[in-house]
Amino acid sequence: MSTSYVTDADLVARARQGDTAAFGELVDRHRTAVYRAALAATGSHADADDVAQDAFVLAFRRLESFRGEASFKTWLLSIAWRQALNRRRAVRRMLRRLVTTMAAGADEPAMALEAATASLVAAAPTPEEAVISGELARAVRREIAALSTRLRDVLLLAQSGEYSYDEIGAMLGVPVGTIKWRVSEARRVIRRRLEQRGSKI
Amino acid sequence: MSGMDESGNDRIDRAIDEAARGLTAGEPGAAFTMRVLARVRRRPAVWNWRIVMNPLSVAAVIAIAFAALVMRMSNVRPAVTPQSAPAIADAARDLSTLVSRVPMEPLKSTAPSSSQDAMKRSLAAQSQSLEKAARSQEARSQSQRALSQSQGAPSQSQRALSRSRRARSASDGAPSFVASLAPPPLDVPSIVLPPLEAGASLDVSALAPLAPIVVAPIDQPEGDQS
Repeated sequence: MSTSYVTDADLVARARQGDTAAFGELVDRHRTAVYRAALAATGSHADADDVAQDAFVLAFRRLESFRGEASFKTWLLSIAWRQALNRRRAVRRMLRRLVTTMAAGADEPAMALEAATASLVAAAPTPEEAVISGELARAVRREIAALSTRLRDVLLLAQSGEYSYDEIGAMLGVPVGTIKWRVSEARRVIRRRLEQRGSKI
Repeated sequence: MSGMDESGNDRIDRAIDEAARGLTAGEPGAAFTMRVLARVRRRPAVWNWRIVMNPLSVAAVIAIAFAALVMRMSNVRPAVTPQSAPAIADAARDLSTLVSRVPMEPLKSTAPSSSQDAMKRSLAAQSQSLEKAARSQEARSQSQRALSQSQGAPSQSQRALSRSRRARSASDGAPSFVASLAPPPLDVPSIVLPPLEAGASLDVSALAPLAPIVVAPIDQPEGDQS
């Protein structure tokens, strides 16, 4: 049976009755959006894959609590974002322990942690690596990695092309105006830092 | 100059957009949907909750049973009621009735009358002490009744009942259940022991005097005394 013209709400209704094939169709429809949100938060493809899986399984088990006030995609992305944040916190705790062990005796263990986190994000292999090359690309990626999580999350989600501002606001639980301000603030911070470093544009 | 700045800003913005897009670019693996569905179809671990809930439910059942046992024990504990004093008084009157009947039914025995008198006196003393205890108990229960007057009807009905019992037993003089428990009069011959005969006196011969004990001085020990 073709499901091309079946809405998400219909698929959800069938999945609630135990139709896992209908839920499979929902997974196929939204897996990229969920995966990229997880990737924006974790910076790791392996973690993003795990988080996306966990999010879909959790969503299936919580289908009864989906009341349809928002779209299924928004509801699903909220679950995925929470899962991704949990994973990011766990990775940071692990990194903090690792860096504390490695930098025992170092003057600035916090700087070592920041460098480790930045390298984790910057090391994510992407197809854009082949397109954006050179000093500017590397400098921009470094500055994005150095942003605070509030600014970086919003910037990455907004520039991924997968989500509207409304969806980002629903995922993060903040107003749309705040989302827009954070995007512009992230750009401003990156530009200022690049100027301060005297990067050759 | 401003044109240079604008083009520079544009380049930076483009670089930011491309970098951000690159950091979120990617697709889940080919078997992603199959993996998700395999996990979804796997039976959820309900038994974990059962394991967690089991000790809790057992503990709850034990606690409830213990509480019920404690409540039951507190309920079966005997309580002093205002009815106790009249009951004691009734028992004392029954005993005095029994004592008063003793002379009318003399024991057919050859026992000396002094022992009967002693028994009678003892019974009379016991009945007096019982009556005294009943009076003091009555006084105590009167104060308790004054406190429990708010309870009203139950204590008043109990008092009326005991009062009628007392009046009935005093008026007809019929033997109560205590009198009916009295043993039947004894009808056995007394045991008469014959006096002991005086036997022959024992003749004990005098002991011979002992020879005095002589203690000799100890000899000097041999060897070097220095």
